[in-house]
Amino acid sequence: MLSDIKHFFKISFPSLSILFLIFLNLFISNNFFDFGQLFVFHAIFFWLLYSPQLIPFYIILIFGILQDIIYLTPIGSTALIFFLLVFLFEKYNKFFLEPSFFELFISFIALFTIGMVALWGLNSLFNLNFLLIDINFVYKILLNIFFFPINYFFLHLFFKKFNLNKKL
Amino acid sequence: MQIGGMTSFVNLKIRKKKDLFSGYSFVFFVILSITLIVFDKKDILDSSYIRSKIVNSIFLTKDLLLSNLPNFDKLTLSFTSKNELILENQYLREKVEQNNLFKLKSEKLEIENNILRKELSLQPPSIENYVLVKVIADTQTDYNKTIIINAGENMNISKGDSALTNKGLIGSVIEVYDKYSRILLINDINSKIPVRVGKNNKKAIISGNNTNKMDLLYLKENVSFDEGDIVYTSGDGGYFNSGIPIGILKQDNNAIHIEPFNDISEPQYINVFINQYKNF
Repeated sequence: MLSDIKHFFKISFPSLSILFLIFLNLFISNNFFDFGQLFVFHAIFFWLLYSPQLIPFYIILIFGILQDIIYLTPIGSTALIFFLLVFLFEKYNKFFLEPSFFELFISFIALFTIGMVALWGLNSLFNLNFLLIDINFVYKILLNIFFFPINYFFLHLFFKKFNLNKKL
Repeated sequence: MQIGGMTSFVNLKIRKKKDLFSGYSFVFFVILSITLIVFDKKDILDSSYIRSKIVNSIFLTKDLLLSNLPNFDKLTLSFTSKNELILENQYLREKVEQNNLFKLKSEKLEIENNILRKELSLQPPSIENYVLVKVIADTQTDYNKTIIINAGENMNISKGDSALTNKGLIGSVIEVYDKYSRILLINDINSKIPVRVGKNNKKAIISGNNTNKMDLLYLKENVSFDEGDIVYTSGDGGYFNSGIPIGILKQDNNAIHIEPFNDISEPQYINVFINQYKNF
């Protein structure tokens, strides 16, 4: 029984970590730093690298919809951005065989920036108007870039702690 | 020799490469996302019901978790010294006296206001109903300017009620849940408010653009404005009551914009006016 619970917790840990980042962004970090809607991509990126089998597409869709509900954006829009980033990630992943942390960091910066631009494009499309881009746009990208290694470190710590690299 | 955890953190190696795009599942989920967007935008999908249930669940869970946490404020209170209590008591007494004075003044003003209303033959609303609410979640993004407050159907709030502070208008209620509501701020790109500008009461519409400066639209030709003119709601369309201050007119290189009186980026407490003149 206990081992079943442990196993369930292990396989749902990636999803729980994404959920945690959603609520962290909504209730806590928003008072200090505005990371934006794509903050959870930190965790998605990490789990795509290490345990892609633990975050199937329907999980990404569900969390995207949850973000849309919270931030009142058209349902499905955030998930679509995530799928675009997953697609680009997959292309990149085939290109580099064994990337170092620095290479991963650079690829995260590129993907995150593409995600922010895609989000702007999609919102402009919804409003049938080119929305203004101000300094906050750059600030958000920089803030996420700065916090990515910190999130990465903690996720990696849990990844090792729970032995998620072993076959589940 | 390096410590085990740090070695693997710095020299990351991807052990398994799995193909994420096996089969057509990826294409299916992309099409599903696009379908959901189209359904939501075209109002085929009743997303307000789903949003209501999920937002309620999220915030009720948060409240439940917070209410079960130990109250550290009470713990520190029990260590407060007697002298501090005496001082606090003295301060509170002064505050009560001050508030009583304010109450007297406001009652006097209310009587005066009623007399003036009668003089003007205006029918006052039967009950002036303001609800003081707290902003519990700031859901503003670069492209959507909304916030969530801790009152909903339980406090008789309904769609279209205006949200204001003592400085002026801040937004309007666009979604009402059981115990929470969502407010669309005046600087959102979808916010359009009929206004009157300055002493001459020139009519216009102000529109948000997701920044802290709002645009003035639909102006008549050859209409001039003075810098510093105050912008009020006109009450046209019956959505907002008339005379609620919004902001001040500013001119930069012949371009006109409105600066709101309120700091919209970080609202904390808001009055929601149960709008009785709505659709009047």
